[in-house]
Amino acid sequence: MKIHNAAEVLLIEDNPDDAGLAIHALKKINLANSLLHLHDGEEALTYLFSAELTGIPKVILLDLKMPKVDGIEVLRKLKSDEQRKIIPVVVLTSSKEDTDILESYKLGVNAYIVKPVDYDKFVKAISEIGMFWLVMNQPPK
Amino acid sequence: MGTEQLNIVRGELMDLFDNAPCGYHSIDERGYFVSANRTLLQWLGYEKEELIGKLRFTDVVDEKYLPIVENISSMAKGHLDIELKKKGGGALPVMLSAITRDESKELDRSVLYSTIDNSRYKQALERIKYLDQELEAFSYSISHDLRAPLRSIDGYSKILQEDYAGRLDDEGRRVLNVIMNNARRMGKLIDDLLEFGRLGRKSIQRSRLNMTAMVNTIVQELLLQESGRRIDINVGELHPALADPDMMRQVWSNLLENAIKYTGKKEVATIRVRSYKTEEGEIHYEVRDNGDGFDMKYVGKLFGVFQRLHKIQDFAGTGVGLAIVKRIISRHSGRVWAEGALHVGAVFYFTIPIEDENP
Repeated sequence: MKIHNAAEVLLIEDNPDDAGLAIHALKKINLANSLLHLHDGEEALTYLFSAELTGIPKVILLDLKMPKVDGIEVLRKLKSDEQRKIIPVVVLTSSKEDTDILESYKLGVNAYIVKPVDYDKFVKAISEIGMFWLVMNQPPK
Repeated sequence: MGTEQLNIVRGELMDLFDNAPCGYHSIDERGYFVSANRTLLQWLGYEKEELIGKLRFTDVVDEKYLPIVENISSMAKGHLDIELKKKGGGALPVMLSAITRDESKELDRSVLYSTIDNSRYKQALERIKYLDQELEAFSYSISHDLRAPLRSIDGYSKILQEDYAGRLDDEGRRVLNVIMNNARRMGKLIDDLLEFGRLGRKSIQRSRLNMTAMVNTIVQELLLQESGRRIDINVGELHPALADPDMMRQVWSNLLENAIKYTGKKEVATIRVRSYKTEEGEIHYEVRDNGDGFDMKYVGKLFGVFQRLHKIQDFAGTGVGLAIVKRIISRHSGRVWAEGALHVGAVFYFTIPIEDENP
């Protein structure tokens, strides 16, 4: 896969207000320049599996509870695809349920973050995820 | 006894046998029915003639229970949860007991069985499982669906505060703070309520607890957060208890946190923790403070969920702490109660029953 025109960060989140908060937090640390917000699992799969997509994102931030196609399903499709399984996926969810955590790891998730209710903690979590995956981490080419 | 009397007694016994609220039957050595009472016949939907000598007991037992039923015959007695097959189809859950007796062999009865209809018990059990799942789903939904809007309220207020504070006047900033404080408070309420719900379902793991050590550790931790205050806490030698360690830690934490909180307006907080054995042989634990206390008129409200006897601006809290204490103590079959006087202080008592095998 050649890298051009794919966004560096894919935010897959159905709740526009939560997405707004995450984008706001990433903007604060200047990591929202190449960000694409996809609004549910179906939209995400269409984008990620489209023929025109020629690059891979540095990280996918994935919500779990979404209408139509949920996050677990998106994760399953990505991680069972030979070309796309290399994309780092960070689950970003409200769910602390053991079953969700276990299932995500079994499917090969790269990190699992529970969204804090407190905004300061939320900003901190998003900033750290951003710094780690976009700045520190060496992504696959 | 004359023949006539014998016949009367025999008739009464037969009546008892046939119309008992449980099923009775016996089988011969090959497993065929030798007798079956009317109750069992009605449950299964068979006529006597269809069963006796024609069918084996194992013919009416649900296949998946056959191995354990075949085993029961070799036992002296036992109680088994199994299912019988009705003639027209359908299952009847029963509790089965069996007796093998030597003298019954002379009558060609190898094993005598009695069965108790278990279907209502099973239905109730299914219903409980169903309700439990419903409750689980409900808690799940509370924790997720209520948290998301809260995060937005708190987050967007924060953005207003950080990025637009210059364009708000004092009243505007005050209003914003009210919104944020309430969002956080609701978050705390949800957490406490979920914790309260979880407690009801968590199983109790009893072990022998050194209550003195436990309370001293909690006191040390709590005092670290209250460095600016003068607090005189004295923990006496406490009786050990057989209880769930996590739950007991929660009980003590909640009671001690309360004692520290409600003495907040006193110059010197005095808190005493004691335990003693009553004349009835019960062990009482008590936490006594010289705090704001409460009016005994409202003592009945003290342990209810979301019940508060103080204004939020005087003493913070969600009103779940003592409800959690009560639930934990009740689940240990103990009692909890309180005495208080307004502005003078409060005493909280609880008991944990002493287990016989662990005096």
